[in-house]
Amino acid sequence: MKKSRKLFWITVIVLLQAVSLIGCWNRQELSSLGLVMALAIDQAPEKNKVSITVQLANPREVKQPSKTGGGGTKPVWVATNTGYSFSDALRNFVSISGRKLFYAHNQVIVIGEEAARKGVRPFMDFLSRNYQIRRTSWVVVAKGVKGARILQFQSEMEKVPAMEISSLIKAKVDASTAAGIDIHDFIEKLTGDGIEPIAGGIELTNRTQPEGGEAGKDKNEVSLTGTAVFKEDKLVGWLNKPETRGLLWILGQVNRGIIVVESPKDIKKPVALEITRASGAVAPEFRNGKLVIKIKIKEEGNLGENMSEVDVTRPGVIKTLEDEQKKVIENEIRAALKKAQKEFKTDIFGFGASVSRNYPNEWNKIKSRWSGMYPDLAVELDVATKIRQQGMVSSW
Amino acid sequence: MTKSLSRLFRAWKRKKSRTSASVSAELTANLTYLQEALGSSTDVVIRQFTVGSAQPVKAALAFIDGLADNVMINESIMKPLMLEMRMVADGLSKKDILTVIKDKVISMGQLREVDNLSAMLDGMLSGDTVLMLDGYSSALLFGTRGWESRGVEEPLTEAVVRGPREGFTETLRTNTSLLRRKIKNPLLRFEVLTLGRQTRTGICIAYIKDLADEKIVSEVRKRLERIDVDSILESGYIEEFIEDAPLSPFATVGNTEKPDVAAAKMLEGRVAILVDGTPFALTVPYLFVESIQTSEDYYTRTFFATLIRWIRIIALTSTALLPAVYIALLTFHQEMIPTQLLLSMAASAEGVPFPAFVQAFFMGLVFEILREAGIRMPRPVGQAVSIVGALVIGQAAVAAGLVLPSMVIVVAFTGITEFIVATQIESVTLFRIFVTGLAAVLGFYGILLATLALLIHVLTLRSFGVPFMSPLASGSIWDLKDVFLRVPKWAMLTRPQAIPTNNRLRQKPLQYPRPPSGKKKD
Amino acid sequence: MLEDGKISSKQYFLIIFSVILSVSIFSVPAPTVALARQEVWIAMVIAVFVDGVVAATLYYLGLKYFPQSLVQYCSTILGRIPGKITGAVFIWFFIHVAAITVRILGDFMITAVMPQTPILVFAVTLVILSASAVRNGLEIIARLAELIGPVLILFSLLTIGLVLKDVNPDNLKPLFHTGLIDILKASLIPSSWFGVCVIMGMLLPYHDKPQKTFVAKMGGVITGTILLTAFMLVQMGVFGVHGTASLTFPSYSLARMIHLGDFVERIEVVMMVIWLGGGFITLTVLYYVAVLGTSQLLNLKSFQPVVIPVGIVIIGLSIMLFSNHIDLKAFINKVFPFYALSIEGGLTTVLLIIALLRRGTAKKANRK
Repeated sequence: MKKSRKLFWITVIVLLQAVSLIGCWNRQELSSLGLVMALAIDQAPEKNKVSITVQLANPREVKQPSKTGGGGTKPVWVATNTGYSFSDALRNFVSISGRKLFYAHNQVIVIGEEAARKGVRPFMDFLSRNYQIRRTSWVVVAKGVKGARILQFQSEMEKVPAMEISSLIKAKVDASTAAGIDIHDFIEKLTGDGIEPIAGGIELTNRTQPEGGEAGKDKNEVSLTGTAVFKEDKLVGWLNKPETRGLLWILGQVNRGIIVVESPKDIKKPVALEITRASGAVAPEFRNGKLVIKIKIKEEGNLGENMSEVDVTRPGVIKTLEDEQKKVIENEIRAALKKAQKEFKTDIFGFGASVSRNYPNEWNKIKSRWSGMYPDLAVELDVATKIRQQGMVSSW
Repeated sequence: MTKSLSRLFRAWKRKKSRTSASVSAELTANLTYLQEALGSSTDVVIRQFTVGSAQPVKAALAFIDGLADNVMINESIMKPLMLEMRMVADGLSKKDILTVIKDKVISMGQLREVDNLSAMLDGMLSGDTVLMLDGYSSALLFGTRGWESRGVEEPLTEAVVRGPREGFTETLRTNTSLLRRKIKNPLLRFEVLTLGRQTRTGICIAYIKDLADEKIVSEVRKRLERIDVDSILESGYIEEFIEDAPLSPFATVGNTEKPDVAAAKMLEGRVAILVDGTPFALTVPYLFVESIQTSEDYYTRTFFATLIRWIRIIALTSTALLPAVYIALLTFHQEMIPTQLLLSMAASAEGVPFPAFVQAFFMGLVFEILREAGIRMPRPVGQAVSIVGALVIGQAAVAAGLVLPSMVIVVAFTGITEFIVATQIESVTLFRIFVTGLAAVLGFYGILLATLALLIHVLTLRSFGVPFMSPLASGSIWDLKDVFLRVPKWAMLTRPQAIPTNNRLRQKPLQYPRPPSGKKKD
Repeated sequence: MLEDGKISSKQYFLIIFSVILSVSIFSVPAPTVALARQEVWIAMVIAVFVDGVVAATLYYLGLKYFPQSLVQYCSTILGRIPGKITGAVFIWFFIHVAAITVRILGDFMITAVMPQTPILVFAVTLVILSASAVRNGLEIIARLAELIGPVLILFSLLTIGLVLKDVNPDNLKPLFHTGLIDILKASLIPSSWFGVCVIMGMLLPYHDKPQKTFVAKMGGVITGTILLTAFMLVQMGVFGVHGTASLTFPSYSLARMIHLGDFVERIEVVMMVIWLGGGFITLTVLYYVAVLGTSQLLNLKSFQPVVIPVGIVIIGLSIMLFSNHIDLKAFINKVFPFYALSIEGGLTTVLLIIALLRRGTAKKANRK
């Protein structure tokens, strides 16, 4: 008993010493980290190489920029590297920056259009395999430019441009004018059966100067416009703003936003309606052996702005406005459907997934023919709109 | 070395077996003994006189000046012996004098007859007065204890806003009286024993006979009787001898300076040990949960008391784990820090050359030094030290780029919260060092390891047979009524079941206050 | 007596619960979801039934041969030599599963949290700590379970609750579309893990109310199953069937999805710590049972001398058995169910049959 106790403690001490000898493995002091705020993936000039751009935060400058001005370093540091694969390209950064790259706070992943058209699956593999990268980073596709170009823009509001892009995406998602897709959503759609991925589209635009201000020489403002549409893992095209909302209606991701309708009294003068609540559902049906997709949209809103002189208190006016609104929504949806079905032939709405959920047996039969069936699917719309409030005044 | 030690040990044993002589019939022999025993100490007073008129008997009164009450000696002993004795002593045979003195002359409450010299000496040294008569082989001890002592004051520790303000004093007798005043139950028992060869300190085991488990009381008695030491100056001296886990950083014996706390604990079936010469009483068995309970919890209303208890739990957890979590976050799990915060922390980390653990260690050390300095310094200076220390050193360390600003916040907060659960300061401080060290090596995994090690350790502890962690682990779920909650008084039906007791129910059930039942008619 | 401690029903329940949930949460979801798809709950119910049968067998045998433990009544039932061999098989199984547990926890740490750290560090620290608990006997382990079990329940519910808003209910459709054979195959995986509760055969003699063992044990299994099933359903809801099946540690990835407002997020490390705490209970219980069984088998007076050798074996096995995580996964998904069930279910059934036959012959002998 006594002997075993002694033996026990000796073992403990020896093992503890062994442990402490090995040292500290995953320890990394804050000042030795290169905080990656954004990543961009582009096609390198060489055909089989990728070029990866990182945006590293320079914390000292983020907090208090050098007072001397001009000579101060920038709050972020953008660098590009090429390699045969994602991690191959990343590996070289340490030798440049002297700091260990730390991805856990990465906000955005920008995929250059060229790279997106070639296929993104290899990148997604790295992004989901890496233990630091979170599945909640946004995925956007740079429209018309290289992703690296997006990371180079200088923000006026935020010290770190990536943070601005991130809040821009959040704001746009909130206003239902862009699809907020993070790695998690993207991978889910990419690997899911009967659904194809989408991503927000980001582009550089001219800053709108206040009147009298100097016109921007350079395109130096990012904006989130439209949606990148993928087939499998390859970018096939873009949806514009109304089409994007059409897509979001179907996906049930409209939260808030403004619908501008023509005034019943004066076509030129619009009435703005504010969306307060909306839901969308896809319900496939087999009618006489033929697949019909039914889309049900329910929308509720308020009267936001009335630029015409129409008196909303008059009976029937609200009804007319509701109908107008319905028409607008239907148009948006039709536009999106047309683009996706006829032009890109890619099932970004997840019609196939919805069929597989509701008619698993039938789905197994049509699965192989799905891409052929999809462009010619009959889609029915059932949009119900409602105007609840008219704001602080009724009419004046 | 071992040889000389064992020789010393044998000598110690021999000393103990020395039997003391009995009181001699010759007064001079007794006086010689006293003189030999006490030497020429100036505070020893020996007054020789004669008793009786017809057949005067030589007598001597001995006491220690300052310990015995002079007025009492003059009025109740000397006066009767010298004046009134004459009236009753006529025709008294020499044999009866002692009985007469005992039964008829001395007007004192406390009186006992001893025939043992060392008992006589012990009595004298505790403030009693000895009367020795020539021709009698026994002496009388009069209870004349009365010395200058600190009054019953508000204790410095365990301050309360609401609740009794009196605290124990350094006098054992006063302390027992304070307890007796709280519990006027005849079953309240005080058992006295004397410990310490040099100090001869009075120790008192206090318990309520019906409530305290006899096994625990006898265990306390047994452990106390086993103690054979030179001196006992404070209850801490005996605490270390009766602990169940002497090598644990956790105390398994509680202490309190307040009679109401001691009484409440005795009313839950615990045993209190009072030690002469210190205002700190020990209470056993002591459970971990007692450290998050204070007397005031039971004097304020239930909701607030529960809230405060939770605050204490949070404070205890954070003072133990906060630096460790902070270091783990800073050096292992940076992904857990919100992005904006991380950026600003990284900004201040630029240019700080020391690893986070070194910073934490350094700041923690500074804090402990300041704390100790603040306690030891004379009070007015002490305050200045702590404020200057906290403000200046923290501020300067940040400005000089030695530590992160957030590190100062963490360390300062840890230091403050430490005081909320004051009874666990020692164990928490030790554990904090342990867990911070492991967190610096293994991050959150290290914290987990340290916590598990701590749990395994505390779960093995027992205090006088009661598992230290009950009722948190092992024991009745109903005991939790007084751990995470402080249920209203009328719902606290039973005493804690963790402490063995013969009398489980504490009060009449269903005493939820109700409005008067009869409807008033106007 | 090797062990004087007694454990209460509550402690028994929490021990079994921790064993059920904490390791299974790492090893069960991905392969089970891959096979049973939306019908995992059926697979789980089947697993509970399978385990119930094993539990009933052990309960019957345990009470019949009270106060002997599983290892001890092996000899009573089978005779000296075969009994010792059977007992050794059980002990080997406990040690083996303990090693697998260490490996799963260690692999989890080096895959998801601290990739640069050698796995030996985790194995060694966990086993040392576990050994210090084992040395203190059953009561300490039971109290540890009593402290950690409720925290495990609380945080599991918290994780599920916090990711509930990310659940896409569409992912749980279509229902009833997986073949029965696939469901049965899938149910083997949880059953094999639930079957680890053959430890109940070892613990039953130390239960203060042995008659209530069955209820306590099934209570633990059912509670654990409900939480585990809830986890798998939520994982499917968040990641989809395919996503869940392809993730290495779906439960951890699930915890990574937690975000509430802008600052209650990234708390997966806290969840990890809690699960690891649960895994520690599992390891400690298995370790203890192996140590106790060994000393019973060898008729030792104290189990202390066995603690360190068994610990070293566990560390060694956990490192050497598998060369990498893929290896481990392949073993857990393909081999372990059959291997474990043949011991958990097969061997105990054999014991039961022989015990019943013996009783029959004994009765006949009595009549004569």
